[in-house]
Amino acid sequence: MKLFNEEGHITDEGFEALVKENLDEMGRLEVSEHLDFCDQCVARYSELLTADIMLEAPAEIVPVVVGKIRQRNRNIFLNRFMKVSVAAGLAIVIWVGGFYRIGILKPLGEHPGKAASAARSVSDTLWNWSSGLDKLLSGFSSFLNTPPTEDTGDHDTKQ
Amino acid sequence: MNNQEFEAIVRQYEKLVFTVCYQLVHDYGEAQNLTQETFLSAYRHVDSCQKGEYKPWLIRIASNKAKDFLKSAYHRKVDTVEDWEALPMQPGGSAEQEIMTREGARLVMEAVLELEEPYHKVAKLYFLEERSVDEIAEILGRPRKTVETQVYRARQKLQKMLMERGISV
Repeated sequence: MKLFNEEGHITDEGFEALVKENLDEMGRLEVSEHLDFCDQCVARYSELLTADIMLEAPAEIVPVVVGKIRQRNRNIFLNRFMKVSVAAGLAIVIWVGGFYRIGILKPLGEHPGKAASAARSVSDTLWNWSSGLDKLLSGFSSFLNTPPTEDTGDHDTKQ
Repeated sequence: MNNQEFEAIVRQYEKLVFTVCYQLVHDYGEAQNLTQETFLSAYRHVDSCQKGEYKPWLIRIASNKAKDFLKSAYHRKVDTVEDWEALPMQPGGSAEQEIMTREGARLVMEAVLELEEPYHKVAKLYFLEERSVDEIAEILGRPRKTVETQVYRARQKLQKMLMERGISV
């Protein structure tokens, strides 16, 4: 059987063998390699895959896929949440520490006005950070419903 | 696209993707795993597919997943990874040179020309015209990795053909 024609595309005979599950392992490997880059043969194969020859999967695919997607989104969210929390915590520590270092915050007896103002600023920052966190948490459900646009690095194809 | 829309796509195409995977790997359990991997991969790249083009797009992802599986299965059976990586991939390597300088330049050429697709053009360009893998990939419009694989298999086929004709390789 000739699996590929002179132009290097899959023959009718080759497609028939594929659909009728008569191809040996090497033939299937060659076909899958070819389908990976050939639009023309993917289109032909797509036409051959009609409803009457579709196979039923032995177990339900949808719940597993949806579950894995949700788990993945949860992991991404938690990673981002952790990063934001750590960054915010560090920012507060550095910021407050910086005030002491450059001498804005002094013991109350020396500069009560400045100390009170700095304390208010710290308090405002903490409040803002807390509000931001609330928004982040409230956006969690909408985040779960939005597919990420970035690639997370797993191996993939030219989709 | 939100999760509900994607779920609808999974429902609509699960049989299609499973069929492609099964027709390529001939194993129900593995086809099911590959089907799940296909949809997870599709989810990550769903924005790169135009609406209404899901069928060929999913077929391509599924065949890519099947290809990776078959490739690893093939390597496990046929040879070790070390063998695969140790083979010289540039024309004019010692194996080729030895063959060419010994008795069979004409026979080697005949054998190359006798190879069938998908190895014929690749072998002709690589062994006879001494083109690089990158050049061949560009000329034939095939991925570099696929060309490397095809050169490797073409070499194996040539070795077998030449040995059958009494030429020691």
